Amino acid sequence: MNKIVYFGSKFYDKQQLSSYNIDYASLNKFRKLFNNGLLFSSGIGLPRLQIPEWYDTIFDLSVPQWQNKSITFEEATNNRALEMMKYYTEDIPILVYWSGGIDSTCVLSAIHKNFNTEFKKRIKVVLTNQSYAENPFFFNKIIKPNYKYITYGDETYINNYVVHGDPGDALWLQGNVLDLSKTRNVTNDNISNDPTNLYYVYKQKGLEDEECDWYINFLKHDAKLIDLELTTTSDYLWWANYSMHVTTSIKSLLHRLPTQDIKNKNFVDAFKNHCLPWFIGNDYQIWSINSQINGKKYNGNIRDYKMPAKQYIYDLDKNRYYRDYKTKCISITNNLKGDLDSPNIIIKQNCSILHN
Amino acid sequence: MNDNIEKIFHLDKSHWGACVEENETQMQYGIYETVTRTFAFTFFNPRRLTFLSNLFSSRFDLRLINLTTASNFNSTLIDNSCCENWCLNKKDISSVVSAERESNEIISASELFQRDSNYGNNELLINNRQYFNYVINLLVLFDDLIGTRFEFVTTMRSDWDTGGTSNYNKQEYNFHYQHITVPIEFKDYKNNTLEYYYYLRKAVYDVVYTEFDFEIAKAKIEKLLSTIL
Repeated sequence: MNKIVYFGSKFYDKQQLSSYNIDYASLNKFRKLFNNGLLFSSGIGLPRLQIPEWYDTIFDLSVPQWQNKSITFEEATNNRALEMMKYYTEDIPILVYWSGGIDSTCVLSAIHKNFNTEFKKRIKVVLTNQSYAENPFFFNKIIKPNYKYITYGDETYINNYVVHGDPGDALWLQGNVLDLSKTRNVTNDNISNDPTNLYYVYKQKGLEDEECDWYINFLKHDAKLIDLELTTTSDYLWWANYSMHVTTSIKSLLHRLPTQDIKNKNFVDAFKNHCLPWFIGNDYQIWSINSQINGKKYNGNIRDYKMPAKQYIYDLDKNRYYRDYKTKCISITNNLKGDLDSPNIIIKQNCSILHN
Repeated sequence: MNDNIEKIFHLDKSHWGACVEENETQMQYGIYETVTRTFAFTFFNPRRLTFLSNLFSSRFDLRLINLTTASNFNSTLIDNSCCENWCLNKKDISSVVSAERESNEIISASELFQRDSNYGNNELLINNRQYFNYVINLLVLFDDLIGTRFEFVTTMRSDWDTGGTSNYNKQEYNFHYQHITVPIEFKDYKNNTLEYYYYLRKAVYDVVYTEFDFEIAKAKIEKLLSTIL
């Protein structure tokens, strides 16, 4: 496994960054990518001065191991549920953050379908009024009769496992391809298959030629670390979003905690052991890459937004409204923002990529 | 039973577009469903349509459109017998999608087009037309009941109305009230008090928000309303 990131916010100054061996020019390039809307941002930053030495070790688990195999979303989800059962070795509660949105509802559906009775007894669904309003049907049919539920605010990572819907969005993103179709008279297939279109994508977002080269090389280099071959525009865009978004999603939970907890080694260990995001599994990543162009991920019809996940949920709750009409909504983890500014800036360790 | 209640309990006899309220403004609005790109319901009162869209917000993404501003609009162009066949142009769709869902912003239609069937099957939406009509009549009913039975409220009515509509959106929804099929809070209220009417109204709206099956919802609502009618 490869270490993923150093992490900063737009408030970092040059002196602070150099003390952490981070290239300021590189950071600025990333900042531009985020500020221009090129990269999907989790939106939560951790003040640089509060980052302790152990921080980068949290993300050792983030890089998927690429394999050339076929897998459906349903298989990936069921496999992930079985993996997670093995992960939950300590006999402590399992908190499931439920926003009512598609990703977290999919997680809860997978738990309901695959976990055995003993594990289900340990589940506590963490929700808010907004969660309920988002999906009252699922609450009334699945959650209320089967699980304990609590309102958000009382949980800790020390004494509980935590699971949530992140980084679900990173599985599905390929929106920039659609953006490009508005400015170039080409079909979606052409856009997706021709990696030179990346230049149009990035330049449309305000990058200079040199910055485009730098960023594309950066992505290639990073993907090689895990033997992942990026061949299409969609591959690149997926990878860019995945490698950026997955790591921030883990940190998003950290940011709700008091500074003293973040600096506490015991807490960090508990966090690392108790907070494994659901959608980082290898099967999911393989499914995501394979589904870029075949239409299983998104075929351009808004009804089909995250349809494999909605179908997975429908198989459990039989709610046609949710399957056929549910689209994007605010996730509960987005509501965890404190007063820290966004967007995040994430930068890979060892910026020598710049000089390859 | 007065005329309003008669219509609510006998919707099968009502015709599309009929309503207990009179249209004094000559304006027509529609609630536009963003996934199948068509109109779910039309009415002349935007406030009621806003409330209606909030009550169905966990099922559909419905946006309020001023139909009267469309260049090809006339009074016979669109009603609830055919609104599922109409669509906005791309510019207006873009305005709809970019508007915040919770803002309840009214988008002015510039032109109405025949809907493209490639936008997908909207059968489920059409099947809810009767439910929409029923709820519109409920909204009118409660205003009428409260306005006529509690005359002193009349001067405060706009405040109550605001509270009754804008507060009832998905953001501020209080789920603690949702699990009560028959409102046990009512036990402390005489059923001819103003407080009772507001609790009753909320209980009825809760049923609409949470019960997706129209027939079941109607039965629950009629049971609730039987305490005052």
